[in-house]
Amino acid sequence: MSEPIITCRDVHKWYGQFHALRGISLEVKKGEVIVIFGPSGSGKSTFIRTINRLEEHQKGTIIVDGIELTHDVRNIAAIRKEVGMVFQQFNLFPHLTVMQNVTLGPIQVRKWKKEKSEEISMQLLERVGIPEQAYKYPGQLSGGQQQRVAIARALAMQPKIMLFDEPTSALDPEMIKEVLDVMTELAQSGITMLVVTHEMGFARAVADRMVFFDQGLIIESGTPEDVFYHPKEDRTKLFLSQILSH
Amino acid sequence: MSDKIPPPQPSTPSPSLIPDERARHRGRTGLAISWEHIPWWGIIVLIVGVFVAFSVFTSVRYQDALSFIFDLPWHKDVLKQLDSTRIAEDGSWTYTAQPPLTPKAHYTIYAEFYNEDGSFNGRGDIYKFQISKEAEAGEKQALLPSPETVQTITSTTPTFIGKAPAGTAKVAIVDDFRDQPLRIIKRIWNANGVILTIKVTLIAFVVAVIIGLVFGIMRVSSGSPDLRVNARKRLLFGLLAVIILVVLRSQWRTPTAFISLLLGIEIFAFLLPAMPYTFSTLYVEIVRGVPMLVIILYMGFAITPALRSASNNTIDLRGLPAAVIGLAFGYGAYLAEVFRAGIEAIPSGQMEAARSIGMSYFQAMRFIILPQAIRLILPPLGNDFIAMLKDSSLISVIALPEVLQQGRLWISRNFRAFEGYNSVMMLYLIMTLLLSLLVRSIERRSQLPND
Ligand SMILES: Nc1ncnc2c1ncn2[C@@H]1O[C@H](COP(=O)(O)OP(=O)(O)OP(=O)(O)O)[C@@H](O)[C@H]1O
Ligand SMILES: [Mg+2]
Repeated sequence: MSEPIITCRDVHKWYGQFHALRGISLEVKKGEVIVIFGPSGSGKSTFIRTINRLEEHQKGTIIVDGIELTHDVRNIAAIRKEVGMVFQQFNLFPHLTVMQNVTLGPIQVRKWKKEKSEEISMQLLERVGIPEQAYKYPGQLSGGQQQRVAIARALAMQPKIMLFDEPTSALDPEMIKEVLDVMTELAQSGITMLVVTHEMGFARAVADRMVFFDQGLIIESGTPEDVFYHPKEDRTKLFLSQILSH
Repeated sequence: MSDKIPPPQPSTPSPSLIPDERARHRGRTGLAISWEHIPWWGIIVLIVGVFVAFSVFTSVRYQDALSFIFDLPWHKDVLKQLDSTRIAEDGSWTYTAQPPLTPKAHYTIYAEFYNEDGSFNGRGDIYKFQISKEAEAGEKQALLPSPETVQTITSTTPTFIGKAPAGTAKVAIVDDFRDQPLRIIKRIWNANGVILTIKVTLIAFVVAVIIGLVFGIMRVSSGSPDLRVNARKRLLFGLLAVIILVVLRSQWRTPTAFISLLLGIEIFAFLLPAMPYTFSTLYVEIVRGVPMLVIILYMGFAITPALRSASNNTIDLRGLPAAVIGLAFGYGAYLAEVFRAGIEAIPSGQMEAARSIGMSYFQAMRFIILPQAIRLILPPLGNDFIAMLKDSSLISVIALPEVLQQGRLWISRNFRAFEGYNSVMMLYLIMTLLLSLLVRSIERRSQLPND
């Protein structure tokens, strides 16, 4: 495969005294879909949030799309333009319509014209299946619809990388599928994706690689085939047996 | 731009897709009073309204007090009051315009006569004239009455001669400008009493909101920074700065001066990231701990004279500026707290989402955090506006003729405390009630639609 688009080397993160990431090294190639899973509190969210600098790492190197993340504000801004993020709690802007939510980034950050941004946004809303909700407010949509808007909002910046932090865990079961369908379609379109999720069906279907986190460390990584059917580590086996048993 | 909510787009296929939009617009248009449930404030408005109407229409005293507090009339000025010493035995009087009138201006001037007890005793002849462009002062020009035609005169100090009816004790020379809308507007803008109160409150509130916004944002910035970050750089910076200073100024080359300089600059260098927070917290805590009255007195009688003498009279804040600055400075501290609370009430996910689509901190503040925070803080903001309107009465202590001061002036002239203070109270009550209606209606408009 091609060049790595994300390179993490020995990344450490402390919250005060608490050592949340204890040396994460990971390379992600262009177009790869990586699923990150692991027990609660293992540092999955912390890790993917360091990639667009919502959390600051204190040791190690993170290089995204050829730019190293340092204290330099310009680097951070440049990287954030290339990295889209979808949150567990959607985090839509409740005072703006769906359309305004999606066009805000292109207009204010990319400095595109309003018409162009709206045209692109409408296409994205069609892609995630909710063009008819464009002029509603987030509060008027269902959870699944809101999460799809959030995906469209991230895509509107035309990022090279998409980060998902448990995008379906705040959703009712009947809405999970509509969001996963959008994500599956996205994965097949060739965009680089890092997904924190426990939706193992989704992982099996679209992941190129699965990464198992525990206590701030990567315990095991490999293809879904390997991780599901031939896990090497006991902790991985134990965790998989717990989440697959129900 | 994006903090405004756009109307439904014409391209939307059918109105049924935007079900809440129409109800939302209905809610936006008015006060939406439902007559089935007249709310408590409606009843109060009604009672006060009836009371005011009753008093005003039945009592000359209230009419007089209210018109004095409103600084009426707004269409004429009294140029001069001539007392009985300037009225001759037979009632004839003369008046030479002093100070001079304005060249190029139009005037309608007449005399009003008053009896010993202050009652109206008729009006004299009307002079209508225009002063020519080259007119000068000094030259006395006796004018003839001209109620119909406008005469042109060449002096800015014309002389009026007239004869008062028997019994006249006072002659008021009146400059009537009811046909000149611009002068009326100017007169209203400069009117004392109610207008001044509203003007001071509005200006001071706008300034206070700006102060509150800036200090509120400063207060949500990092509280206690990590002193270890860049510690070596800061130490070095401090040392360098001190060395440069010492090289430049020979009198600082003593050990005590060196050490105190070094300490001062190092402390400053370490506190620099916390400066916005420290500074704004200091402001908020100090100002909130001092009574409004003290702030206004301090502004009016300590700072203003000091500034005036320090700047050789070029910075003169006497009157309105001092009052506005005092009020705004005092209320800015409360509003800073309101803004801080509003900003902190917005879930952190909003800022994260905004940052993750590449917005800068200030873009996120402007487009995401503040528009939401302002919706939250509208009620306390409105309350503070009303409180400020009431506290504007405090500026009467620096002799600004706002509602209370005008009321007291009227009372001191008429010895009618009851009518005077009743009028003052009613006026404040009407203003605050109207304002709370307005605040409610704005609150209702700014609500977001939910499912
Ligand atoms: N802001 C913070 N301050 C202090 N500790 C934190 C903070 N954020 C996270 N932590 C701690 O860091 C650890 C890792 O948190 P993280 O959110 O990354 O876990 P996670 O793997 O995403 O878990 P979950 O599946 O519950 O989302 C947890 O023990 C958490 O308590
Ligand atoms: Mg998490």
